[in-house]
Amino acid sequence: MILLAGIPSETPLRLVAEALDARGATYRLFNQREVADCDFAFHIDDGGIDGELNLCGERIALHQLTAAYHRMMDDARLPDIKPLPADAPPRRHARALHDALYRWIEVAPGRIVNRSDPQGSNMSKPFQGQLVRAHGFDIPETLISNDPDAVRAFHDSHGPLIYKSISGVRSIVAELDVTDRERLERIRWCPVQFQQRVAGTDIRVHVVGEDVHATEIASDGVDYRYAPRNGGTTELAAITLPDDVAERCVAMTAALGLSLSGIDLRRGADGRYYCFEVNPSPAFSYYELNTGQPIAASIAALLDTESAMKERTSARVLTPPMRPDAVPLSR
Amino acid sequence: MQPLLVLHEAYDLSASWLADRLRARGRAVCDLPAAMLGAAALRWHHRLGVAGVDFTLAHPDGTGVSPRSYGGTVNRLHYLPLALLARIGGADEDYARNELYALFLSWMNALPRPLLNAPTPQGLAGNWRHPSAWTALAHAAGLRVVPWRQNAASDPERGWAIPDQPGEVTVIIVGDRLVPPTAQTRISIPAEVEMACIALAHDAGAGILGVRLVPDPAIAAGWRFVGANLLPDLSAGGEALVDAVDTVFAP
Repeated sequence: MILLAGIPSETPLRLVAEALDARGATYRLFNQREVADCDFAFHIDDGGIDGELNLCGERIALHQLTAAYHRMMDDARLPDIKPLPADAPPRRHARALHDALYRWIEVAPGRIVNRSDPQGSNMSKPFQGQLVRAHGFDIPETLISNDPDAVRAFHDSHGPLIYKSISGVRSIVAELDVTDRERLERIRWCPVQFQQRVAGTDIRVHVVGEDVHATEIASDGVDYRYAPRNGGTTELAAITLPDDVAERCVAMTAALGLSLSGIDLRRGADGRYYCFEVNPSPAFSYYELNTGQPIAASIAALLDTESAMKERTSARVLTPPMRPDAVPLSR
Repeated sequence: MQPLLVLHEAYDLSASWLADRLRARGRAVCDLPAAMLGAAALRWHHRLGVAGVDFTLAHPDGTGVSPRSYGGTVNRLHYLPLALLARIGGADEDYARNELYALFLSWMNALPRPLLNAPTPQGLAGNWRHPSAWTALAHAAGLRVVPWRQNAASDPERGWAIPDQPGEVTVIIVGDRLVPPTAQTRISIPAEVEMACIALAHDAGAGILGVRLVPDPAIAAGWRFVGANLLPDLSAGGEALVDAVDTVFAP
């Protein structure tokens, strides 16, 4: 049995639920809005890990759960919880249940998309960049500094520079211009990241297990996510990556301990692939709904390991047709 | 031989003790107090690119840190230096804290190897796991464990600290060695428990790990895992611990 957790109307979760329905897979959904009517307990002892999840009266032994996909929002911000005082019993119940559930997700056997620990690399872009580089991708020339003279010298030697946050805090990517150069003295209190601007084509790659869904992005903005907001345009199209690049994406995702990733690549004019970020909790629906790529179906197949095992052992089940936009790597 | 870098807060007397004991054996050691990393005058240059990863932390007085200066690192800095945190405030405090943690995670990952312990997103001196995660990891490594139980009535905050247990001992794993506490000479750790403790440290990615064990005469192994500590009191291991650290950094 598969566990989904989050808000059912949230688009990625909804798409995965629909894909599981299409497969006829057995799953249960922990709707965070119903936390007051749910209960959870787990234990770890010499016999291993087990416990029980109670979803509005339906009791599920944790050893029955073979996979989980979760996109839970901060329980403190749930509409029914947010207005409550800190010591209100429903609020304490929600916090304790979510904490216990998160702890179990971290150690549970089976397919978890994704555990928290492996998502950590995303909280430091340069740290993640070191891992990315180790997997054969290029990374832009980067300087993190609080020394204005060093930044000016870096700018002079590398041409146009991009600056952006290096932590998990989302920031708008911007290009260093003349005005910015004049106020560089302000970086003295906190080092800032500057990256050589790499000209080329943005590609978002969603890796799901061994499936690869690549989307090419044509945009006239520095940061394509915000181009329409600034009067620009962004267009998405499904593409097929070269085999070696797709294989590196799969290997890197697995090495980071992830089953699902959203990788931001840029194909340079010289044909080299630069990697900017590996997102461990991608909101893939934006890409799926704009390109028709069956990303949710891949996630459902990944979660539906019981059915997948049956498919592999059943002579009556034919190999599913290859999707033109998904690169199978298990040859 | 290049000096060994020992990175720690000033209050970490255990790290100072280790640095002193290594010096007494003739090893060159650079004791780097974290306060130096919090100095406002420090100039940061952290580079990544085709040539690899590099950093230079330069102080106006001519002192500084770069990876080429050292032959290995003992890292006991588990979070941002207190001196640095003291300089952060105002409306952007959370943002600045996140940015600086991201910076420390990255430059410290480029510290010279061997690196005990390597920084992780969950802690700069190793992965600061929740007790439930340590228990699961210990079970997987072959240790018998004190059961962990958690439910929707448990206090999430209290779960992080497991109080001392009667008869508890902390053994310290350094590389592939188990170092028992010198103050408890009568304890006997069976080989299967020793191997499982070493496997736990390995699986945890920790070059140095304190493993908390409690006696249980009802089981053949004799000991149960109750917790782990990424910053154990190194002096409790005495000269055997210095031997083990020396071995890790042997040329």
